[in-house]
Amino acid sequence: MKILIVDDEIEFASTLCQRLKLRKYEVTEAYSGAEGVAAITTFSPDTILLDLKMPDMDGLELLGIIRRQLPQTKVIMLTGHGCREAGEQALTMGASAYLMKPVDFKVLLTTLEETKR
Amino acid sequence: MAKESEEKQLREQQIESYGRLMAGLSHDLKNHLGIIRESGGLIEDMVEIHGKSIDSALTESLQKMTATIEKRVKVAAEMLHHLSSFAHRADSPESSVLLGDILREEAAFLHRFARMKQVELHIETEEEVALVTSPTLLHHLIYRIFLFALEQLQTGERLTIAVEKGASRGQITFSARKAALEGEFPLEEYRHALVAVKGTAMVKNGKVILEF
Repeated sequence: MKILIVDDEIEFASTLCQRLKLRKYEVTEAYSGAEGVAAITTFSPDTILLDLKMPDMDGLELLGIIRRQLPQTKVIMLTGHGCREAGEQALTMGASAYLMKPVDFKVLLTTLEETKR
Repeated sequence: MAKESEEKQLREQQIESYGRLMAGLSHDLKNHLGIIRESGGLIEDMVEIHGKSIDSALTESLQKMTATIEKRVKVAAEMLHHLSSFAHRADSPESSVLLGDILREEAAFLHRFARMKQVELHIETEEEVALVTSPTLLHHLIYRIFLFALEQLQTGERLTIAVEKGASRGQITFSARKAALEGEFPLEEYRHALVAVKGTAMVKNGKVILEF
């Protein structure tokens, strides 16, 4: 499974990337919305782990772009935002799931496997 | 009247600002926690992969450390979750809330005050009571009544804060296991807040009741 992580927290994205690679996933990272837009065409991920709040682009805005460009790609929103409404909104916009930060890695793995189905 | 309305507007603006600042802070803290959690997890992964080639005492020690990191991150994440909910209550001056949700998110912070006084805090939120009210001022009142009750309790006591259906729309009661709560809650001091939450507070039969 090819996974793209889009998160402006570089240490978070890179550590998560290493952990997923150890579990044989093919993973790449993007540290901004703009990098994320570029990576969805060059990398063609099966699943995207997408941060809700980034300085250059709102995660929901990027979700809209992904839905238009890669409708088959699954998106799991990662949010540190306390307001559940944002997560719920992401679901209505086509995200497969949303997970609250700090993400429970076991829950993330289960969610990733569920997106395969 | 104009002055009162101006003061009300000022209070609402202050609350909204504090809420936004607190929400931003809790968002940032969650990001830090996320990095700590994943870094701890990565150490755990490394130990699992390379465990056989490193000293068993070191392996055990690293496993203990990563377990402690994970345990503490979970506790901190739970607290931050409550802090975020708490902060977002300031998004609007009035909204529809469940009393149980309000009490649970506030309890996450009240436990510390109770612990400092060696009083056991017990929260009961089984009853579902929905209200349209000012959530931030409700938090404020719960906190003040909690302090009013706590001041009267001795070490080793147990304070119960419960959501109840009550005779009217619903109520929050504060009661102690041994002592009867008494004295006069300074209603005048909290008049604005009581009006905003559409409630009243009273000391009755050894309990403090915040009734709606």
